[in-house]
Amino acid sequence: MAESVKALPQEIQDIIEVYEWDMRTREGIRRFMELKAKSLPSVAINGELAYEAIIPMQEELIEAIRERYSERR
Amino acid sequence: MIKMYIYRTRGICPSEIHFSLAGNKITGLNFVGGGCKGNAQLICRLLEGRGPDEALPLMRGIQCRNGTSCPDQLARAIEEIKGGELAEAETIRVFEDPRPRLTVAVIADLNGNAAALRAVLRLGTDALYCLGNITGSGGENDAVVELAVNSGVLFTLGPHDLTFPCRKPGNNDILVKAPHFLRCQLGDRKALGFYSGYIQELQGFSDFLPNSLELLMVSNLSDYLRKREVYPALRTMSEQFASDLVLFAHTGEYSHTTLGGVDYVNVGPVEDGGVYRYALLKWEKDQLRVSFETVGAA
Repeated sequence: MAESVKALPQEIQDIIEVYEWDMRTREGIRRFMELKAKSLPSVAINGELAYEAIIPMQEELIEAIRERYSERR
Repeated sequence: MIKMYIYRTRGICPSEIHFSLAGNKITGLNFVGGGCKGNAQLICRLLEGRGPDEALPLMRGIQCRNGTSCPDQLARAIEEIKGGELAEAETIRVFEDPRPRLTVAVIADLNGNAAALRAVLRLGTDALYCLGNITGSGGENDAVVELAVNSGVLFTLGPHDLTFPCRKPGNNDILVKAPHFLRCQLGDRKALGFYSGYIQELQGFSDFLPNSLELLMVSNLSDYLRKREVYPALRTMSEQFASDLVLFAHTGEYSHTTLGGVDYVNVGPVEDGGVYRYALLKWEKDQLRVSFETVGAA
């Protein structure tokens, strides 16, 4: 999942910060619970669960990021 | 004498550095929790068997990110040991049952109940495992520890076992050296047994030790299999398990759940209203059979 985020185009990389949590760690599990996630892999955008158990197509992920970015602005 | 250390890093990709000092030589060096695997392996190979004083000048001050690096963090760890700031990690003990078994009785929360232990021993299974709290408040702790040792009962430590010591110092020594994890083989299933997530509160615990993944998935992720909503994540993570049978206690309940090819057996307290309850695990016709049985007092 992190690989697909790293593969995002530069203009998207410029407006996001990416955090990856390792589910083998207590910190990763704690974050998973905070997000009320149930499946892996999970992607949250702006602290809200956006995708669970799927790796979205790049276009879909870009659209979701842009949508939340414009909402925040 | 081998002393093991766990250093929680700052500013680098690996979150921990694990290593030992054996006769003042670095050994078993491992950078865990992220980072460049190849570079880390090279550092580990180059430093294996070197003395700290020889290794320090090679590592100190190397920059990678945040004004530090993996070698620099290891140098800081060694300097903290020398300065008495980094203590030796308490060993998380694991006992491996050397014999494959076909029929096993598993109990937990014996709480110093010698009559219960005698009753379960009469079952005559290949092995008897107790997952923890072999002793308890007001229990016949000395009698239970001696009976367990003399009868070959394999037991792991529960949180009570260091809270309610025996009267005889020799029995306390047995408890102090008892394992936190039990590994065993039942038929072709690789089993891991432990009492509960209290092990992660021990100073020597690390998320990256063998057996930690199973422990964290059971206790922290799934609340001892009670959070059904996270079963999809548990199923995914179980693909990384080294075990396909996980035995645990802590909840006071008996249950058996199969998920993603892993059997989880939750063992409740042995005392159950005048009878003694246990989990019976049998390997029959290439299949694991789990049942919860009772036995009366003698």
